[in-house]
Amino acid sequence: MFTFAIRRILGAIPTLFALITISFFIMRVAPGGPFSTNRKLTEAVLANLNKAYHLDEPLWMQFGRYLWGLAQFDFGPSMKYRDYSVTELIVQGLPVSLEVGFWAMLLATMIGIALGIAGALRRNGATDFTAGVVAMVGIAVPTFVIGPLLQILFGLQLGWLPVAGWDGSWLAKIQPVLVLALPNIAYISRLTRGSMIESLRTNYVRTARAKGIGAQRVIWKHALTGAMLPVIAYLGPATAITVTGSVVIEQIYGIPGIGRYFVEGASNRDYPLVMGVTILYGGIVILANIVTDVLRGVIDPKVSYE
Amino acid sequence: MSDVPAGTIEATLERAEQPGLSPIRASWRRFCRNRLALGSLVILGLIALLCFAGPLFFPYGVEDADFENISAPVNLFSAHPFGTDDFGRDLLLRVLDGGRVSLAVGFVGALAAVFIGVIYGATSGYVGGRLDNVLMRTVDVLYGIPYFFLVVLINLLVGRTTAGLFVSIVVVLWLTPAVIARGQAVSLRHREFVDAARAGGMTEWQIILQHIVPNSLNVVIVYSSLLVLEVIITESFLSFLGLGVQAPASSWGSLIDAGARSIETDLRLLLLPGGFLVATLFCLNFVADGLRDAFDPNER
Amino acid sequence: MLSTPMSADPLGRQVAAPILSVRELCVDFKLEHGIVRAVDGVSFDVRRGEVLGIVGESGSGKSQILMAAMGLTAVNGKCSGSVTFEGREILNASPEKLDKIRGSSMSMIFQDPMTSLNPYMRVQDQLAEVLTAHQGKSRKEAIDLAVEMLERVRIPDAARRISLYPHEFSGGMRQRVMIAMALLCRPALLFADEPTTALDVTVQAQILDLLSNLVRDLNAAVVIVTHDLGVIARMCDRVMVLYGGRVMEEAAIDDLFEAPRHPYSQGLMAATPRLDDDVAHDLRTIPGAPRALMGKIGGCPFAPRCERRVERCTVETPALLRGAGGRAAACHLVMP
Repeated sequence: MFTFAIRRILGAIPTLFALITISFFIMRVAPGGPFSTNRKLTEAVLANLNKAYHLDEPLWMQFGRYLWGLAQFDFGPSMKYRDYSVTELIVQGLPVSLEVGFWAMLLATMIGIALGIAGALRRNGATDFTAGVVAMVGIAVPTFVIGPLLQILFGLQLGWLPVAGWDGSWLAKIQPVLVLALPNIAYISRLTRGSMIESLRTNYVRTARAKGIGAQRVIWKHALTGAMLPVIAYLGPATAITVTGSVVIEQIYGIPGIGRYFVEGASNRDYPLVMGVTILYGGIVILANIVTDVLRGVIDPKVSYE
Repeated sequence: MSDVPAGTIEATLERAEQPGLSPIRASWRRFCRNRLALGSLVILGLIALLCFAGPLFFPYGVEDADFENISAPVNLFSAHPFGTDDFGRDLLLRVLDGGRVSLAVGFVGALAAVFIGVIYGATSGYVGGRLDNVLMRTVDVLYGIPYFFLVVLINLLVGRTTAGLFVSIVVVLWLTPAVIARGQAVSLRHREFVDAARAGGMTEWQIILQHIVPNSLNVVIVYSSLLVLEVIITESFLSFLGLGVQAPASSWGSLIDAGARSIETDLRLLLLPGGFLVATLFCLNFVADGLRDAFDPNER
Repeated sequence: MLSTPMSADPLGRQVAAPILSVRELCVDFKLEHGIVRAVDGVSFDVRRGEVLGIVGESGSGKSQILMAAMGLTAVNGKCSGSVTFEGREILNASPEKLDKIRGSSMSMIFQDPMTSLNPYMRVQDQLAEVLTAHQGKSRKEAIDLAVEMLERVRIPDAARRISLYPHEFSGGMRQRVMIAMALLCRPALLFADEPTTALDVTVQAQILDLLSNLVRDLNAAVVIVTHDLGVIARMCDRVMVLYGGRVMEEAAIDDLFEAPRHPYSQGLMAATPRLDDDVAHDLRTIPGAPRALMGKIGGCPFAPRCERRVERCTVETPALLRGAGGRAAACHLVMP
């Protein structure tokens, strides 16, 4: 199990490296820089700024400098927020984003699996139908449409929840977390349902029934285990979806997380900021994929021996 | 495992189906029997027609402000059926015009991504060996990066125009069709007709283009429909964040962004483009499901 | 202990009453295209100590008879008729009632041990749960008993192997595990659905011998379903020949092999190549393919492929007539 995990981590390094490299070179090659937008700066001032940010050095040298900084968790200075380094900005915003993301993932997994199992056990019943509708909505309607709609409903019309804002109260957290979780609730419930139905049809579940050990044990011990495998495998992509979705959620609900910094950075061509957030988020997704792989290895005895 | 010995029944039924129907046409016929999917396709066609031909019927342009009718309410029989925004611009026209961008980027983008991906994947899978290894490792590595970020990065590189947006989306989204096409190519390259083609003197390229690719079409069609969905959503997503199409051009995404900011004053700015987008996405979903049921051999 | 109920066996002798009695069992499946009748009015008895074989081609409905008895018919299937076990009706009984006898006094061995064992559970857990569910044993006791059982089915190094997963066993050993699992609670009735079909030929004989010995020790009643006449010859006392969901012939094993009466049975026997055959002639086959089971059959199900059919055969379904010596046949042209 341990070697399996190590191997996975090592396998992920090229991806992380590729991410860093691609981000870096795109940022450097992209037209326009943070200094070319606003006021006209004199040649001398421009030259000084370039020097200060090492923008006059050859590319490979800048890259090396950046890698060295990364190793020390230093993402460089933000070019727009002159008083802050990217690391400081990230430290500010990351806990908020992580909190929203964590709750969204947790909710999505729990609700999704529950709906999926309920649907599989009582096919075409009322629960199954409701779950199906929720899934349909979660898959087809984008978060940036649902979000504002719910804001209108719960915030403006009913007044139950604040329309936006982040004041640490759990009331303010409900909507963003729920809306962020919705697409994954949809995917996970559909996946669980299908996989549970498949599992209930297998020969080994039939054998379990033939042993007279009781319907409960057949469902929860025999059928469920195998059914969970595709769902666990999906948690990796689910993390990517949550991470991507959080960028929009933070925008809609005014949440001070790093997703917002990413959007601002992209708009302002604040290279280090964009790169920092990209690498961070990319790292989270890669980590999630490793974790789900290891989890799969725990359930499926055939996996570890690959 | 089927509990009924299906072999006997299937044999009887297969004899009853018409002989000589090409698999693509048979699948298409199956698709047409699915009323939900067919209906959705029709609605999609209508939306597309509205967006591309509709604006021609308006006597004014998207940016033309009708100062006498600022923030006019919805009045289907007036000159502005869905009213105007607070600049006096006709809302319906803006939504239709935005639809042009969203749909165009969506379909053409998906087509381009499929085209690139299929060639890449089919070649990789067919040739196999070291080339396949290298090409697929590249795809693997790229897959590890959430594509949204990649799209934004590339968009920064190619510039904030609609064309630039198009390029960045395509450059990132060809990955999935490539993986699928490669899978098909790998299973096809060992089939006898490939050997026969080679024996008949076809070059490897000809084999790829004339045999491998057409035979992968089934699976590719199914996943392409989902790709159109992804492209439209990605473009809307980016435009919503302000990283996609830039003013004065607009797409449903950017219109929804403007609408979301105005929910406290004018709901129509959100509901109109939102409604169109959601309707399109629902239809695309049903069509994609229908295509999968009709074309994917595994489902049967 | 109650005195064993007695009755007359097909040969007229006074013997213990049958432990399993099937009367006019019909199993219908609802499919997209209509209703398929997989089992059409099958009746038979089995007694303790007796091995009954049900033989037929793929699609003859033989496995569905076992599924119906065990309450494992698929959701789109409907069973009618009667199945009594130890005197009590069990056909269409509730799963709760069936769970009391399934796995303990009535158990089943399935065809493909690779897919029939749970790949995500260790063998010890799959074995132990039978004992904890039916005999209230603690987990430790159950595992110890399971190890003993594995040793009886000749799995070497059982104490160590039992904690492995199914995919770490070979095919033959997996089937031994299935057998062990089915016999743990000393069942009075054992169903076996193609027990050796998925195994290598070399392993088949071993498994059959093992099974023979074990069920003899238990004095269990056994119903084996197979398409392999070799298995029938090796294991069974009596045989039932099935075609199109109906019983074509029933006889003691020697009677069937030496003098089959029904045209279908004759065809089967003739089609089986034998070691003492004359090499000069071609392999004989029964012309045609097994019928699709859709719709009501008019007449004998075998009529389309029967060389001896007459007008009456395609119109009137022959009833199963019972004759002397425990023989029965369903054919207009033949007396049992």
